[in-house]
Amino acid sequence: MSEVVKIKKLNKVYPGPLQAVRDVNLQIGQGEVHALLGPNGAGNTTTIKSILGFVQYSGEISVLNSDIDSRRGRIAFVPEEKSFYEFLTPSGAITLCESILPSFDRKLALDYVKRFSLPLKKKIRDFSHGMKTSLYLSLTFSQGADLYIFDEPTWGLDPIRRDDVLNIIRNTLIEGSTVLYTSHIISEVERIADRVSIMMDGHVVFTGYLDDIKEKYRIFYLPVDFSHYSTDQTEAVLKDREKLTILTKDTDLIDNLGDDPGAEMTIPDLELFFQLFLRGRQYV
Amino acid sequence: MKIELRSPLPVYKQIKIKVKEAVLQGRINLDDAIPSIRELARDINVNPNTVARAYRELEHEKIIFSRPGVGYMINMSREQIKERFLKELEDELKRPVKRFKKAGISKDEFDRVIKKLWNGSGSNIKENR
Repeated sequence: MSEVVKIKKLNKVYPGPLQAVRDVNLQIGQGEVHALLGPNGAGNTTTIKSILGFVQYSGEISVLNSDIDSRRGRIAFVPEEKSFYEFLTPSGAITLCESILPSFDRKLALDYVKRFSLPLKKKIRDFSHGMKTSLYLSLTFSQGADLYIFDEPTWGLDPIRRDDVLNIIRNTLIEGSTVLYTSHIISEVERIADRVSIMMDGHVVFTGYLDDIKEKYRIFYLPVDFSHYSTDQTEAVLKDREKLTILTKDTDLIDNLGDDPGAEMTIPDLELFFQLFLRGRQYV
Repeated sequence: MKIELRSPLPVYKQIKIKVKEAVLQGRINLDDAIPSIRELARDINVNPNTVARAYRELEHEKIIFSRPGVGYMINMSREQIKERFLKELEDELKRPVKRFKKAGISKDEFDRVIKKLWNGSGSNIKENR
């Protein structure tokens, strides 16, 4: 699989302690949906801004085998905060996009606007947040880009529109594009992502295929005083008053604990996996 | 085809199982065409890459094959698929059989448990792999 985005040793420091990105390495393959997960301030948005060249950084980033500036025409980006020419109507916005974006597909844009039930002739300033977002996405999805980058694409949308957006992202993929996006909504990520990367405190702490999480990782619930494991066998360990929770992909440990009647095993879904990674890594 | 995203079973494996089950249950037969990757992805609301992975493995296991210009077709008879299922069953039971045998459970006792599960409480068995 060829790589659409390659990030090597990305570092970004802001004045003050927050929002730094440290030694991030990340590869996004052609035709995949890659989700960047992490709590607020983990560095997701900074990573995306660096890929897009919106901020200064150190390290290497290549997009479609070149630097971002020579590839901008083939990338579509939707920021978390969407601003518009408020005096335009969707119809006017479509005409504007058509005149400035070479591969813009007018017919597709009209299709999406219809699909989201947006009025063509009404001023955008009178739109609700959800309507603005759907319009922004309609225009974006009509760009025929090779790479789509979204920061929280479904934020503020009602469940029906959200569902439409997820379906459109998936169809975009069927046409051969690549998608990188950030999200806080795990159930959405579970529906459309191929691979996820989890960011914490500026680091990428995990990258992997969703299906591999279920296949390779196991969670064990054990008595608090259990000690027959070494920390290098575990990915995350969480201890509370009642029990010890271990996330592991170590096959020896999985075999041993799997036979232990005192251990309760589950297969992690993304939600559990993510929570354990966030809360349990400090002990490792 | 119904896919459970929350199931402990990876989605691509669920797809593989559903295809095999369809043959086993006689709903599709040797040489029948199955949906394309795009169609199935749209149909069951999953990412096309996941369907592609399932098909790739099914092809590798010689359960389906792709004919250029036509699409994917079933490459195995019902009997052959059944053999595969029985082999899988054997693999899955290996561990529990070994464990309970070691603990002193007799074959009759084991059979009795199987019979009990077979005759009713089947719906309570959670898929767990």
